[in-house]
Amino acid sequence: MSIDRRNFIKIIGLAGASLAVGDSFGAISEKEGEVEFRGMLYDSTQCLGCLACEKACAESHKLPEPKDEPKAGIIRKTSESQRSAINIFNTSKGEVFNKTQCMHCNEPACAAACLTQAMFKTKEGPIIWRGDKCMGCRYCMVSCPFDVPKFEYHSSNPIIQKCDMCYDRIITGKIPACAEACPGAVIFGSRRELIAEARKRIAQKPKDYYEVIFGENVAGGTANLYISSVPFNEVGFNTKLQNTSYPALSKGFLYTVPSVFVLLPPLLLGIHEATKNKPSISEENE
Amino acid sequence: MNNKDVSLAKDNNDGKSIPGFLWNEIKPKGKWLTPFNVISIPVIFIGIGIIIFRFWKGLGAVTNLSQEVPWGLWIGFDVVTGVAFAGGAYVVTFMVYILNQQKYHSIVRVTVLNGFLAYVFYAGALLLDLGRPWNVINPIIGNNFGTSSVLFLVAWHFMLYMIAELIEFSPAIAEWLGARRARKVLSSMTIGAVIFGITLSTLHQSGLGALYLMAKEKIHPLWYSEFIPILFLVSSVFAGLSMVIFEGTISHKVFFDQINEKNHRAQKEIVHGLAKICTGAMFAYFFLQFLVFIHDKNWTYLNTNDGLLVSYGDDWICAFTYGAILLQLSDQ
Repeated sequence: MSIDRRNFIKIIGLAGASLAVGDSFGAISEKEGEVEFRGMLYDSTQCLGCLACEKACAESHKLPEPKDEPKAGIIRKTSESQRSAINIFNTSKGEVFNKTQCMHCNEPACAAACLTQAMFKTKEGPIIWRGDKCMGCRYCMVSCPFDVPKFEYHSSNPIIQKCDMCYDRIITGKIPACAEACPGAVIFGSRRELIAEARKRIAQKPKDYYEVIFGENVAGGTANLYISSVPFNEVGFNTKLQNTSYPALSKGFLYTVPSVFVLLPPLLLGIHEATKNKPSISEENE
Repeated sequence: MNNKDVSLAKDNNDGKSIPGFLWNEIKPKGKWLTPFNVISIPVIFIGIGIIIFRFWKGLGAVTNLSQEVPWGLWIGFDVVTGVAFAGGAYVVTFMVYILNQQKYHSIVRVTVLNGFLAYVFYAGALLLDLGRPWNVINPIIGNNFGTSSVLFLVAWHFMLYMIAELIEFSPAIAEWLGARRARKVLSSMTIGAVIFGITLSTLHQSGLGALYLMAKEKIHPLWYSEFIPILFLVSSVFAGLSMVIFEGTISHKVFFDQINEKNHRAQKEIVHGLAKICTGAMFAYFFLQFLVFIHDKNWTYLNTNDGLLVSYGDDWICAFTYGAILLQLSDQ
């Protein structure tokens, strides 16, 4: 990929184009990204509930190992010391496992909410939290439709705890700790490949699977995808979430800001000038 | 009164150092153990204690915030609602400098000072609620601009509006220091600061409502609407003016003996005028709420949750009755 870009810039250079043009072309090709969004597919029909993913996650991020076991009827939530959690649900098809962690939305509400870009969607797909930028306003927690970011309320130097899809491992070519530890239910790959794989599994065994891929469309699409034997509201997901992206909700407001900023001051100045011609009234009142 | 201030300031300035001058201005000029101070001094000391505890043990030690409720009363009421209550400054400057309603000129200065102080205190309150307040400078400097965030817009406008209000009030400071030339320069900046300030207020008062646009899943559909920014803006008009009336009435009671009959009448007229504007704004709010209610077909939610319905109905009834009461009052 980088070779292509280098060649491209070289050609531009040879053609005598200015350096500035070359630079901007380089920047654009980087922004468009030849890196595909990565994601994880969780196939709950393959999950054994062995908790290897949770243990690997805790070990990989130096967090305490969760001691409680999943039990139907009790929901184990992710917390400021736990990034992913396995749960058992009593469903129409018996007990079904489900794994929760950050969904890594394509258009994340948390990153759109963050005023310091501490919550940041990387070009590889994971959304990471950057402590040197975060000011702890917790607007990401308010905005996230999946309630993923967790805040350390009992610390004088609190952090936001959330799954970062093991970003440090991904950029060195490794796969996320949970996917590595899992015997077969969590698969790591590019989002496009994972959707194809999920579709294939559903098509091959239509009786074993519910026909929807959770994460393909929800909240504008997420990097983490789910297939299961039952509808997803039975395994703890809120299936009433909108299918368009959450940042789009505040887009309209943000787009009116520049127009207000341009139009309101001249209007105010105009009214000020128009009403100015009555000095006598003010003197009378005095 | 202004002339007296200027001459006082000059007396103090003559042949004295700056600390001496400041001490002269600050030191208590009468009894300092007034009932007000007797109540507020322990409040301040307990507050300082709680603040120390908060930074030592974390937010969880002094609040009931949870992973599900990351913003509690402190942000929801103290800051978001509080800023609406501080909206009086932009409404009054709009009336006096833009519409040239000279009737209200006498309250501009105190309203702007009030607004400025309120914003300073909200900024302080906000800092206490931030988990990592040492990074508060990040959205202002460096390459950490989260421009897609409504909160980024609110933060910037909040800060710029404080500067605008300071400029609007600065001629008074120049008078206090007896700096005539500075006063002239600062006074000439007033109209610019006013226009800038009203624009910023329009955007951040509505922006505070827009903060909740993304929290669609967490707000009851009776409260959530795409019109929430406009509702916040309209409510800041009457909330701000109500605060002006409230504080003005207290000041009027406290300094009752020190003003003459003409000023008493002027005060009454001003309060009635402000109340009338409040009434108009409240009916506008009521009408907007009604439109949203019909537009979003919200009647389907009416028999869902009694407690919530009561508080939602309250919203309407308050806007309507207070508006009607104010209308009655202002007619007298």
